[in-house]
Amino acid sequence: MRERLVMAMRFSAVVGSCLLASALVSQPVNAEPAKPANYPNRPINFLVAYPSGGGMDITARTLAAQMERVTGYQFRVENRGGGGGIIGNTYMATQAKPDGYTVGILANPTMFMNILYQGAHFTKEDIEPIAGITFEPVIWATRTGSEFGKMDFKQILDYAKNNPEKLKMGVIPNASFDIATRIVAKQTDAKFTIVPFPGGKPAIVALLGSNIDISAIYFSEIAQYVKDGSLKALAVADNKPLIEDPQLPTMKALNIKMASSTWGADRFAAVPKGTSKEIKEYLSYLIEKTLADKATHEAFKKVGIEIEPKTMEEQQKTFAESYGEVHAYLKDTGQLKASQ
Amino acid sequence: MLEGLYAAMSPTNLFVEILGVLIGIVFGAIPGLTATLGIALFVPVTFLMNPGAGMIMLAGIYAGAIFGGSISAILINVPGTPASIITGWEGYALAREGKAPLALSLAALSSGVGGLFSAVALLFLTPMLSSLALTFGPAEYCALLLFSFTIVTVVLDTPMMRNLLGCFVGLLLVTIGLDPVTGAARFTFGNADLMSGFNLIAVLVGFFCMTEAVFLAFDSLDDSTNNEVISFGKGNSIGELIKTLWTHGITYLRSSTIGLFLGILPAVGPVETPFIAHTIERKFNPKDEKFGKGSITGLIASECSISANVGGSLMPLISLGIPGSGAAAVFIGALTLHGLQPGPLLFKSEPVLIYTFFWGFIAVNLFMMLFGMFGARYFALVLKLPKRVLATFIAVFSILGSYAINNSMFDVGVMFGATVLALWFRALRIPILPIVLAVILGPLLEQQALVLFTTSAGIGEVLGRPIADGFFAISLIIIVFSIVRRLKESRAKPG
Repeated sequence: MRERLVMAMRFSAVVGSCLLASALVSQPVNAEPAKPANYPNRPINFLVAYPSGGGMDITARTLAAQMERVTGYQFRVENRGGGGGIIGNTYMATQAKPDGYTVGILANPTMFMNILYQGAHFTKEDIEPIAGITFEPVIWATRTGSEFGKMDFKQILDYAKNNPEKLKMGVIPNASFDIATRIVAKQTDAKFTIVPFPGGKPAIVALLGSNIDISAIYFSEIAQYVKDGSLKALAVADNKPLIEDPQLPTMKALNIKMASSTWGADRFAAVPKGTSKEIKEYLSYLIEKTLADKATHEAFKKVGIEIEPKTMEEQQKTFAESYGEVHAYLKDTGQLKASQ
Repeated sequence: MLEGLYAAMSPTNLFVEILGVLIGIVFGAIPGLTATLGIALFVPVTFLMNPGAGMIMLAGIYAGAIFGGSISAILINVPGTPASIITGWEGYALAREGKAPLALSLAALSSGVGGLFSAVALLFLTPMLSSLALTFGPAEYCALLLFSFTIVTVVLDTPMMRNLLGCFVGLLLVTIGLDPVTGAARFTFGNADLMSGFNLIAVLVGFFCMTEAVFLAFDSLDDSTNNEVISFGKGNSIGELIKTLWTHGITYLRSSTIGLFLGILPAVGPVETPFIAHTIERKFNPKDEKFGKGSITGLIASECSISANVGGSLMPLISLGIPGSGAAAVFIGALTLHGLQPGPLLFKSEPVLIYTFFWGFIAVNLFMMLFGMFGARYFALVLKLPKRVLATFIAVFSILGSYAINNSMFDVGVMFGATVLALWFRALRIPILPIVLAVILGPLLEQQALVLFTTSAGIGEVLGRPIADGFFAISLIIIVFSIVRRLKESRAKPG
């Protein structure tokens, strides 16, 4: 009986995500704006603030390949890694030429943290978003075979409340993982022992090796371990269901107040301030057109990314709202850089 | 499994195997260009191939580069990749004795043996051994790292206090950058470039390559040494090389096993491995006076362990999706872009592909061994170049290589800074190796110690882990023994 229920739930999850995906695919694309004169006449660079091989790099490379297929223009990926994105983001904001040949494939709230928490030498006005690619929220996951594997998220929070600092929680410090976890802890009085990791992979190793109990992580990073049964997702740090697993409890469902579409990775395309309106609109159209293509969805799915395209206006709105949320959180916790 | 063998022997795959190894050797041999960089640069090229061929080519570049680094280390004392630092000590000393071709072909042979050992283990034992990667928690890592530091401070011939000072300076250097927990900037003085700390490759290129270029340039000013022609003894027959397989069999086996084991551990890569393998081998051969100064056993230990590490690092990568080294991390990205997620499911969903790759990896190691053993005489021709030409080449590539890491002039500055530091320390007669080891292992120690202190309930919990206890115990024994030995020696001295 139980198995059947699980099967039914899985089936509905698959159908649900298919419906959602098709709804996204059928989104209308804005009318084609005028092509700027003599643009582009050489390859366009996608700038990534992380080394090759990581999640952002894979997003940019997949997008570049699909852009070439759909638009016929040439796209290159350039990696400027280091300092948790701060070096590449600073380059994008202060040194890249606003000529339409450097397009940043960037991630928030990391970039906002660079500005507001680390005190990077640029402001959010130096960067102009032109299209949204995907938003991947933070989730929490545990080992299926552990004692927490038998509990749901609510029970785990109660456990952490009654057994302060017993539960070892892996996070990547000063990033969405850390902050979303602290927001949950504050509102539910759950007390975790927070264990910092330099990235998702080391956290997964520690989780699989029983050195921590739960980790804040991205679903795409643990998808294969969920599929083979070793890990289990617990909840999503957003207010709308996760595309890959719509059954996962949201913050709203758990009565936890959390900003929407903020704590995760908001991956978007942007150009440096001062890029002409014509080029911005044309680039934005090209990206939108590529992302609306069905084969693009398949290509991203193959590398484990569910795309969620946003138009230039939508992305600018998200950009401003999420900046406000990050600013407010840091101000409340007294971590805002003095100059901000 | 057999299907994979046939696929790996197809003409296309044989071609990419050879091509990958050759590209790798060139990348590895040029100071400043590393295995990781080579793989990262050729990832886009593999998109033109099927996933199997692409993976084999990247593995070829990885293995080739790790061996290629030893060529320049042996011939001109400039490790082409940081993994070849130890090989450089032994090999360069041999080359100075006129045994460059022997050192080179021996390096190729031991590299091949280590590589094949790990490739066979990869083929048959991957599911079994990769779980080792998970049994190593923070306690085990901390114990292993303390063990490495103990070995370096105690075993080196230089005074113990100087070794300790070196470790201290190195650890101090790596505190620069963002704090891993709070994200607070440490010693960055508001400089954004310093936030990610000093780049390891830039520092090592400065320590070893640029420094050597300076020495070569000095030597070339002195006319008398300029005419010194290094002559090679009669070429060593392959038979003589093969004989080492018997005479030094246990060294081959021991170092390959150590390399393989360290490779499986996610946090220990080919750079750290030879240090540990070399020192362990030294403990087993206390009578070998030439250790560190042209010992054949030392050379075998270093090369075997590095190449075995490569195969070892591919084990958790393929079966768990966990990279065993920096280069392996780039590998994961490349696979993902091919639509293949390395991890527990890949084995079940793409068995032919995996076995093609494993057989391909065996072939790659065979080709590397053959190229190295038969090409040694030709590589050694580099030594006929005048020193001033060599110095210029090394300097140019040191600058290019450090620039290429992040396309940043800052790293070039770091490289020059490290050069100055290395020259200064040499003048003060403070050994550079403890600094290097601390710079390489420091960040890992900080990360693991941090996790250990936040997660463990107390000393009892740490002592309850047998692997960690083993390392602690060995470290303690080494310390006690060397103190006793040093006391005896000072008593024996008259006055």
